[in-house]
Amino acid sequence: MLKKLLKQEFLATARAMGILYLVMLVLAMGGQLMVGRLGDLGKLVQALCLLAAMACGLLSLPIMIVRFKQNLLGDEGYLMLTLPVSVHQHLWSKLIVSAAWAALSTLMTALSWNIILYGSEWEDVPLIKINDTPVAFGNDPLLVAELLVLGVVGVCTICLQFYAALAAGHSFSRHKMAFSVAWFVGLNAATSFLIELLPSPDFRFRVDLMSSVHQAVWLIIGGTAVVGAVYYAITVYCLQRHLNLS
Amino acid sequence: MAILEYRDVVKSYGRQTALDGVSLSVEPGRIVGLLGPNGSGKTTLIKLACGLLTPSAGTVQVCGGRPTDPAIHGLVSCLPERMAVPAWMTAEQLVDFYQDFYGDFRQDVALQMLSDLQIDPGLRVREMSKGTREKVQLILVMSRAAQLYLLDEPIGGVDPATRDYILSTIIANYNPEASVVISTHLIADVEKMLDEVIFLRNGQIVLEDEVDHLRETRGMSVDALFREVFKC
Repeated sequence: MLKKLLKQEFLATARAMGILYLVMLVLAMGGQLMVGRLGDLGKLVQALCLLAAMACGLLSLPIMIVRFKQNLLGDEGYLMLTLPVSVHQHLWSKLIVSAAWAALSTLMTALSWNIILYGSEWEDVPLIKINDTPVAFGNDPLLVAELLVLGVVGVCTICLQFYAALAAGHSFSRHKMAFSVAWFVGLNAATSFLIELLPSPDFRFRVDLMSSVHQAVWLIIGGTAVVGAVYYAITVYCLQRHLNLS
Repeated sequence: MAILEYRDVVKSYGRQTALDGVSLSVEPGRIVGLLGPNGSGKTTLIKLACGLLTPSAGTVQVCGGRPTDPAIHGLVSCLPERMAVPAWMTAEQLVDFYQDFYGDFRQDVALQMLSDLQIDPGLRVREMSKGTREKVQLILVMSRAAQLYLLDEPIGGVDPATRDYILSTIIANYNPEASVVISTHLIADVEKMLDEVIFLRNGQIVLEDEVDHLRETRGMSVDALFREVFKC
């Protein structure tokens, strides 16, 4: 059943995402046309195209969140929630599709940026510095893989925070969106408060910086996953016990 | 064993009580009319049986199991009051969708009914008239060989000719060993197909009887009885 749900999710979201990616490519071509033209105005247009392409890339998340609301909490919920499919399968199908589109959007943003910046001056592989010591991403495939995992877990957790807020807010008979916003703010505040209570990890960035970086990344992945699991539990509870379709 | 059973079911939405201690059972092979004015609790009863709501108190059993169980969803065919099918899908895509998820879906029956009604399979739901959408949704629901059909206002909001078609479709295509529960406030149209009727008012059952018995003992049609019971 999960495969069938995934197929339906991709079919349902492909049109909106396709239009988004088309817009990104148009922006990319527009930005590329400005290379070496119109002086400062051309650079400004390039910069705007870069920002617009990034904004388009970020739009994939709101699209997935709206999809969750329409498909499970709107009129379509009468169809979807009476399928011979568990709430868990519904959630996983949406999370997997959201993560897939987020990954593709990241690639499309990177592609757009490369197109826009091709032939102009641009920086090499970006560096971050820890304790004034540079750390290069490109030299450590393991770090890249870990950051990918963090990206996927992070996207899922962000989606789940919205899902939990929407599911909880829509369990009320009236003012569903207002309650959803209230729940979102509350979940945010509660998460921030609990994170503040946690002791700060003692990272000593020794000569071998990368092992400390790996540790830190895995700690963040673990923490993010735990938070995501809590949001998942809230979403499932609300959909199973407090569903209140209009 | 009853195919649908409510035991002392209470359902409240905040301070409002939609159902107040309802107990009833539906045996296999029966067509039952759930009749009552607007706000009497008909839709709430249907949604509880579909697994879309959980009761505040009491229990609901469908085909011997919990209505929220995915396996039970595979035995029950629900027609909601709302337009639940995605607007972007075509009629053909909807048939494929149902074929995908329901093992008891009869694709040939669905396509034949679409053809009989001259509904273009390539037409998107958003491009259909209200009546056509209702017909498509009903075709999908009745093309399943389910054990229990739950139809919430299947004929509300459509013209009389469409109503006749919908009712004849229900009779012609439902599994005779299954049960059908029809919630409606348009009594005259459905009366002739009902085995039993249940009258609801303010979340409580005020009358529950066989249609033939009612006609014999009261000397009037169910429609006339309804008007008398629910006189303003």
